[in-house]
Amino acid sequence: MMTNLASAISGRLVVLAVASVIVFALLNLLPGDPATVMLGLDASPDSIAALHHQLGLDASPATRYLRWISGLMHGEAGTSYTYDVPVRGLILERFQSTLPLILLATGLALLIGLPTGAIAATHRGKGLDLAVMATLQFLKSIPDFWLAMMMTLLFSLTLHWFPAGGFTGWNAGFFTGLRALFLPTVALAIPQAAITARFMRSSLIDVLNQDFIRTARAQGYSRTAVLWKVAIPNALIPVLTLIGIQLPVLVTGAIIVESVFNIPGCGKLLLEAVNQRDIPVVQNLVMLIVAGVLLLNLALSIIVRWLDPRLAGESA
Amino acid sequence: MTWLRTNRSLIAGSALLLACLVPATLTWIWRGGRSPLIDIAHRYAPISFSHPLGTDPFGRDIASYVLTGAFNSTVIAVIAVTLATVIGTALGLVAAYGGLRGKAVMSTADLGLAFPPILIAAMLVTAQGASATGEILAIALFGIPAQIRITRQAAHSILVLDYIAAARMAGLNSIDTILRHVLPNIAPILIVHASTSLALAILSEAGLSYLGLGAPPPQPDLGRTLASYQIHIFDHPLLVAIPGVTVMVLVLGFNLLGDGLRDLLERPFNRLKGQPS
Repeated sequence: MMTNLASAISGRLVVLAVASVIVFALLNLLPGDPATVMLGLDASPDSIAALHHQLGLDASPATRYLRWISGLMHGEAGTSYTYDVPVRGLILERFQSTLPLILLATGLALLIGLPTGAIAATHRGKGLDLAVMATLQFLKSIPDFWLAMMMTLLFSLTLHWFPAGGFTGWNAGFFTGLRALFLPTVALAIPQAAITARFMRSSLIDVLNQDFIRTARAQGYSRTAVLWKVAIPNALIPVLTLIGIQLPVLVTGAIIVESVFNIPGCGKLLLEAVNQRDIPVVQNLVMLIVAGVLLLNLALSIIVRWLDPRLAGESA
Repeated sequence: MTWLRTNRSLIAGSALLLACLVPATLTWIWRGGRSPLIDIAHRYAPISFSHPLGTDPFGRDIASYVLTGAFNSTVIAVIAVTLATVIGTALGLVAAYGGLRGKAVMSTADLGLAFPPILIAAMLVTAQGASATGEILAIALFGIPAQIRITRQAAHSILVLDYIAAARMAGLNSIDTILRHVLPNIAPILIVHASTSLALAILSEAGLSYLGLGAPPPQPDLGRTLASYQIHIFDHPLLVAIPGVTVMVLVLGFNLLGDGLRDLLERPFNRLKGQPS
């Protein structure tokens, strides 16, 4: 168990290191010069050289890479080209809306998806199951950003229940913030809930077909007791793995939904930086998201092994 | 032919896809792939015989604009999924044989899990500007890890069967084993996965181009159409509804087709492995 755990962790660290090389190479080694972009095509070679020196671009790629990584180790992420402020502060500020959005959406997706999947599984093959499955197939196919637009049309413009966009931060009050994030959360959560429900259904059906369920029933435990005490806890373990797999999709969705609702989060920051070719911001933000996804995946796989010791022997 | 009557997913999926892609392809051929022209004099034209869905704020015919967009988005999704399928299957087969090479492939696949298409696209656009190639690459790269895993698992379940061992003892080398025994047997799984991947690719494509990280103008596509119509959601909600529903029809179509194909094709595969179908 311990050696497997150690190898899983070191494996992820290697992956993280390779990811950082890829991120650096994509943004720094492809043709295109940020100094030319910032100063315009008519800039004199002297001023370009001066800016190169100021931005540290005159060093060799290897030096620049090592400088970036050692900076990251010390919690420093360089300076934004466009805002001329430390990238670290920019990203931390924007995370105040992105992180709650992702967490709330995950929570809501589980809250809707797990019971729906469980109900479909216990009514397998009956009318209710078929109706639920058809609805889920439909919901799974809705683009989240379009759902977001349609929800603004209904709930903001027609019913005036929720603001149509924007997020003023948590200082305006917890419930004001929560209200601003409500529609984006629902838009992000619904397709995820559909995926979770379908997964929960097949996971629970798998478990219900196992021999130990029949044994438990034969020992006299009631159908409900077996379902709640044995089947559902066992069926939930693979769902944890699914959360890890869906995480990159959720991050993508959050970036798009932030854009629809004009929420000043990490997604907006990333898109602004892409448009302005603000390489330090793009580079550090992408790296942060990749690291976050990898670490959460690692954490989830450790939890899954702890819950289901049979998997401990398998490599991560 | 009983399967045809019972396999509702396959029928519904094919019907949705045909209903969208046949007119889209015909429009594309008829207009020679060109986007409808901007015609300010005929902005917001009502529904008529010459404009089945009216015209948009730029006087373009909405029906042909959205259908051309649907064609372009589907082409990008198909190219991306084809790339991911070919590369992912090849790597997955290498991984199925195990060994050091197999381990290396699986570590690379882990790497891909952490890079959603949006991050790859964001980096490519920062470095090179928006392009259709970049968008295809971003979607394909994200699809490869899943393809590797699925191929590896399916191929592995065939490779452990007795008749493969017999074929090997009879002197069949690994390339011939793959071509003659593994690929034909895992083909159903790959086809089903390709269909559901297309659904995901259409969604990714729409998302990327909505954000301006996809193929640049002037070629219309569904995501960019949605982005440009979004400000008209108050006064002309249909403008936003139509491209969105088109994306949904395509995604639902490929998802249902995948489910239908799974029922149709994977049963024989499971029987081969000795599992109840």
